[in-house]
Amino acid sequence: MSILIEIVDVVKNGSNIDSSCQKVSKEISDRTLTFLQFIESLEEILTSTDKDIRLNGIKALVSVLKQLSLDFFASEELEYINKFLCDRFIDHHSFVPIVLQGIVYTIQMKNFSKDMIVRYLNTLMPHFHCQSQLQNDRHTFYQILHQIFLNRLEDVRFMGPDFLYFVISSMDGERDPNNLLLLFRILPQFLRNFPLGHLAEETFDVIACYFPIDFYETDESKITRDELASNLARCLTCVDEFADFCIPLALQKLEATLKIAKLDSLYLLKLCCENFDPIKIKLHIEEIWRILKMLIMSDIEDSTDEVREAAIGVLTGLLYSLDIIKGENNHEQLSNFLDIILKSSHRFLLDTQATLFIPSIKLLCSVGKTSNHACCKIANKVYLMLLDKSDVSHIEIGRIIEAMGLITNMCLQMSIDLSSIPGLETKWEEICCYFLLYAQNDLPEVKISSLKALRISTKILTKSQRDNYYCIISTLIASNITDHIRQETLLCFKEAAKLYKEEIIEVIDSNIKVLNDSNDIDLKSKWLNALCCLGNEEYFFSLINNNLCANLCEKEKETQITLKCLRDLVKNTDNTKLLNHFALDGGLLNFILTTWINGIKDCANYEVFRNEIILEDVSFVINSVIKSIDNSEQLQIVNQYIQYFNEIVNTTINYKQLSAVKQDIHSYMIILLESILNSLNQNFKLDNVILLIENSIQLSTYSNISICNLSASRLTATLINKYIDSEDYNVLDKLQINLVNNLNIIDNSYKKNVINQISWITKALALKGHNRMLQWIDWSIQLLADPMYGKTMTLCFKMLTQTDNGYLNKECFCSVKLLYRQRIFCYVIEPLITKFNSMPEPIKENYLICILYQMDGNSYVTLAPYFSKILPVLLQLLSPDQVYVLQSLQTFRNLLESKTPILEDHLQSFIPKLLNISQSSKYMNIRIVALQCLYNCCDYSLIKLLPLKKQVILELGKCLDDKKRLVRKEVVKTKSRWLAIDVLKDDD
Amino acid sequence: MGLDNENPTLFDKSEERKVSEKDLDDNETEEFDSREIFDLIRGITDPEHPLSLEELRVVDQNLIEVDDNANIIKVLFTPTIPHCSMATLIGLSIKVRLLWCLPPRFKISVTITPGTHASEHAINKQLDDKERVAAALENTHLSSVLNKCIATA
Repeated sequence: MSILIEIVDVVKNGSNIDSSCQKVSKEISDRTLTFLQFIESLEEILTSTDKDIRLNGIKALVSVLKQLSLDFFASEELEYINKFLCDRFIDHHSFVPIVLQGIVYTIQMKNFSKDMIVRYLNTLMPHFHCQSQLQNDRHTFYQILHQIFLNRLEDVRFMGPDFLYFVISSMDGERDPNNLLLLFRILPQFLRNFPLGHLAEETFDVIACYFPIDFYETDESKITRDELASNLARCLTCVDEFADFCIPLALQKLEATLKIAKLDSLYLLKLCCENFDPIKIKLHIEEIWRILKMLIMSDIEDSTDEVREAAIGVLTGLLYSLDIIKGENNHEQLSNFLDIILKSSHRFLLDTQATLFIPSIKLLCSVGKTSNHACCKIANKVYLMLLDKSDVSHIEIGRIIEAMGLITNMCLQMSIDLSSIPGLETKWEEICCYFLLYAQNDLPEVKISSLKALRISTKILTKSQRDNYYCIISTLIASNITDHIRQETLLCFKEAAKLYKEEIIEVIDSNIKVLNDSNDIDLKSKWLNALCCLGNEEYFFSLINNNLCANLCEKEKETQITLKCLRDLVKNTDNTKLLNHFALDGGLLNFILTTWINGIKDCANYEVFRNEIILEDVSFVINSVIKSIDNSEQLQIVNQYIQYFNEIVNTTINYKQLSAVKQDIHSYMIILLESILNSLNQNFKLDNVILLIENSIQLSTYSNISICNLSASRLTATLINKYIDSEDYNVLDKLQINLVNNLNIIDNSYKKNVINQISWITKALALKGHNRMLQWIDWSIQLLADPMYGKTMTLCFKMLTQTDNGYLNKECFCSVKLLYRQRIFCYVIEPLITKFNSMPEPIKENYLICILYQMDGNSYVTLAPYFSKILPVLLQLLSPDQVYVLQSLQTFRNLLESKTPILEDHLQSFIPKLLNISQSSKYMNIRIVALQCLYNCCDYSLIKLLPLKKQVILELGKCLDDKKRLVRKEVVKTKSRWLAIDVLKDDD
Repeated sequence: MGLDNENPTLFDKSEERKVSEKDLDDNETEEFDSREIFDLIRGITDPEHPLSLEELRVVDQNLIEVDDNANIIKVLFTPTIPHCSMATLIGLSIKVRLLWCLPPRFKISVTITPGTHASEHAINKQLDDKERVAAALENTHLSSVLNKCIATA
């Protein structure tokens, strides 16, 4: 019982009530203490004459209550608690908040009876003025309502309008968004299940006064305007009784100028159409249409696309609603309204060239998609109207065809057979004939809209029409057409291939046969291109495979065009399945590898097998296919082909001592080897990696063929990145010593190769975050000082910031550390700047170029800490006599484009320099970039720009008479932007 | 919604001017020509519709006359309907755009294509009056409408 003595003390002092109460309620739940004993111990407190002590008593009581389970009390016990809380409620106004909390909890209890609820309400109704309470207490009260709405509505139903009145009067004038959101969420449940009677209008008014929601979100607010608006709209449309008030409200607010009000009203209207009885909607239909028409069918500026789309949404809602009116002539209502819509759009359909022609057609299409009846009616009317047009110009034909395509699309989506549309029984075939006819028209616009329409209607073409259609497609594929038309033609081809596989196979076969006998390279390329666009249709896989193989490797030209098609094909991510097909036994991959390996080894046709362009494409294709297949298939390919590379993989190569023939064979073979090994999964174990690396370095250093140098040094980098771990630093140190030796002893002509190899290895280590990375970077910085090959070394610093799509990235299973670029930047930038400032003239440049490369490759966040050091270098460069002004200007423009904040403080030092360059530089490119810099300056804050505006406008005026037109164009753009910087916007 | 012309006829836009080899050569000089002037004004928005003057065929390259050596530029524009109340505003925006974007050596004249507007003489006179053009730019409301039209050019 010590706990009871403790609690009495605690309650008297009024501190730390909650934790003691926790103990008490635990004992009560464990039945070691009864609730009665607890109340009795509080007797002195609860009957105290000091209201503060009484308040503490109630707090303790409620706090204990709240921690007991909902089924703890029997109904007799609850009866007492209920009476007690009612008494305390009217005892003193300061007790209200805590009693409300008690009520919320007790009302949820299992044994709480109807009488008790009525007792609560009878106490609350005369004595409680919700809006004079604090926000939290109001929230508690609304929670009480929520509980009643959820579970106890039957118990209060007998109170009828009194209860309803109590609810609406307590929420009337509520301003807190959190409370409103709660109310909007709980009200629909209540309103739907409680008779509104004569209070319907009052109820509606109390809710409607919040429409449209006027609420500005801040970063702290947890609720959004949209949430409030959508819940409010749901409240306003939850019962049919509201229809008579709600529709006029929505229509009235729709005429407001604020866009948000318009959108809200349209949303409300849409909900009205969905929720209210169609009979009620019908009464307002003409009024709604009058306003919708204005929003949809006008192109005045404030009716933006968003509003227009919302309005169309309402219209379709309206039509759905009309469609479900049942009765003897259930289409009558719908028909009448459709007539009204058709009548309003009629005049816009007359002039095909006018602005509103296509929007009206689109509107009718969305109307037609609401019901089959509407679809038939509209299709009938529009088709006949369009078919009847005669004596039309070419531009108009394009638009008519486009419109017919849209309408056909509508019919197909509603699965309406064109021949079943009244009035079209005989004419429907004519429509597709028009499409076919105009697809052969010379005007590109007409052609494109006809092709689009044909693609839509592929399904409904008759057999003879289809034959005609294939002819047209074949002719188009073979002829010289613009890219846009070709794209459209190929889409048609694809669609047809999807629906009529056998027929398309025939078409292809007959055309390819002709091709194989002819020598027309151009035509061949067009057909192969068309074939390749079917890369995601499994049915055509072997056809594509065979045709591509047949055209590879015999003649130089054919091989080139085939590889070009293949390159595009493998780039397209839709074609992954086809790539897997290529990797199968007897597939394209095997064919290419076998042919080229043999071709290179046998020193066959040099024009095909040793052509650099072809080899690059071949390597790209092999690489892409291998990248797309899974581990086991990769393993199989490597095991199958690695034997052909035995000399490179398993024996030490000493390039200089090889015969010339061997030298060449090795040089070309390494390109193929790279393409196979490049995208292998990292867990794939290669034997003799170190030997292979050394051989690659030999090849990259001594080979005379540039594509081979590149492949070999890239392969070295890839292998080091994948297979040389941080523990294997011996290998790297050995490589470094070799490379240093090479640099010192070999001919100058090879030194460039060695430098490139060093760059690639540095990049590989940097990507991996290898622990020898910094050592190699230091070495690279040192090499910059060399007068002979320092310039080549600068490329290393460019390479370090760039990512190559096909090589040394995560898709090729290389290890790439997060933020490696930033790490390198932070490491190199200070040494580079120091060297730039201290080195003599010609070498200085190398460091400068590296600084610019590094800056270009990194964002402002990385640059920021070093900016105070970089900026002087940059400003020094901004003078027309500097050699590197173009490059530094471009870097500068990138900085301005990304709104680098620190530059804002230096506007006045560099804007005059930029103006000077844009007037006096001899080179148009420099003038143009300077002007673009000035253009981007306008992103900074107005207050910094205004003092400079006058000078800039004046100086730019002088540039307007530049002799180059491209410069003048840039001047006009920049000057207009500067003129407009202080123009007030609408929303200001 | 008292629009003068609520459903105007639309025309196709011409393609962007192609950049030729000569344009990229630093030693060549290109004179101002009618296409360049047309490019300056074709993007101006009509005050009534969110459409450009080119789409409404209010301005046309064939109705622009340029003499670079004599420093003369003459632009004719065609209102969409003969009693268009916006004609002055359109003319003004063309004129202002050209004043801002061309070197001051040019004498610029902007007039209505003869016979296409009910009060063409009055409007031509207004547009030719330096004082009145300057005064229009001082007017806050007018200049904000003008800025809106020109902003898209």
